Amino acid sequence: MTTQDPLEGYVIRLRSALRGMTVAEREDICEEIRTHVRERVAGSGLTAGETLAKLGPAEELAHAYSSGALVRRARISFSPWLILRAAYAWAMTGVHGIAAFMTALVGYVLGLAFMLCALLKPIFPRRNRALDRSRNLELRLPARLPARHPRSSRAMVHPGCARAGHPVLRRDNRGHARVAAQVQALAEGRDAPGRNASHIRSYCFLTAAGFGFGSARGGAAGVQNDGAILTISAGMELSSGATRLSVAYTPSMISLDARR
Amino acid sequence: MFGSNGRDDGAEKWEAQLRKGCLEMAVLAVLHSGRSYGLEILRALENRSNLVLSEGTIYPILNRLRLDGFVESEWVESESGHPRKYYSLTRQGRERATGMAELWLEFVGGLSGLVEPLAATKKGRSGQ
Repeated sequence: MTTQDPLEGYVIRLRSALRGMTVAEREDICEEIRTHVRERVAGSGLTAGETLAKLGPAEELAHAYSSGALVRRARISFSPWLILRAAYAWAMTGVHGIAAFMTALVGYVLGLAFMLCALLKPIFPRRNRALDRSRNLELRLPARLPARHPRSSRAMVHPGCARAGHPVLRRDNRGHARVAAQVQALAEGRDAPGRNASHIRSYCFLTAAGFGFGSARGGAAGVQNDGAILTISAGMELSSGATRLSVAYTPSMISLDARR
Repeated sequence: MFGSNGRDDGAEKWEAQLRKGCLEMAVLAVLHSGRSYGLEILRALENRSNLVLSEGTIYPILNRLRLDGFVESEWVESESGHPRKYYSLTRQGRERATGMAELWLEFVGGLSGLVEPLAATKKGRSGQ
């Protein structure tokens, strides 16, 4: 669509470049810009073109509105898509933004992959090898499970862990140590005493998922606070318990699988 | 590196950041004295604080302040023939504005004692 009126042409470009807001918000912004230009023209003797030049390109103005709106919505949202979009918009502004975006992206990919493993385990208890392409980067649940636990109980345990495991581990340091000892026992080929082994493995994956989601939320927190230093500290804080566990468990799981 | 006005780029960037950092407080301060619309806020900033903004800067800031709950807006018919979007401070915005003003004065007061001797030295040199 083309128009001869420079103001209307500008408003059309502005409207189409405004993102992350409702139609009513867009129209409100466009109307305010129209009013501004008309008042400026009437009060200063400038032409519409000169006034529009003072406002800057419509796309830049829209970007100033939209990036703020996106980040604002991402602050109160847990939607990964929204957070990634906000992080991407921030990434376009500089190196801090790129770091936050990459943290969020990697975090979500890891988090989703691990969560998928945890959810698929009850369905394919012996064939859950989501990341089994390379021995060096193998991050899977061990294929062999203790025979003494009936499948039905495993099927119930895993989704339960998916909901409860991560917050429990984050709150309970003694729990961390206990589970770490049990995982070590599994890694060494011993049976873990006193606890359902598949339950523990779920914890491991939940921990890793927590790390992924923690990183992602850390990236999101960085977006919220507009600072790379805050990105790092928030990432550490949000995945504090999970980070320690991931570091301790992941090599154990790899060595356990590699031996088999 | 020096800019077109003879000042080094680092100082120019610093000044730009300083102005940017003050904008929210300046807009809230203008609105503290009563409701106003975008163009009027721009003029008030120019006349009362020498803070000259690019015209495209003010509206996204006002929109952000509105989304944060510091200001509210309403369209009001004007004698000029078209409605204007007026902004006024909410209670939260009023508290924010006074809080920022207190912090600012404390901050400037503290730093002034430190940097005033530097300005005096520069004046002394130019007077010689």
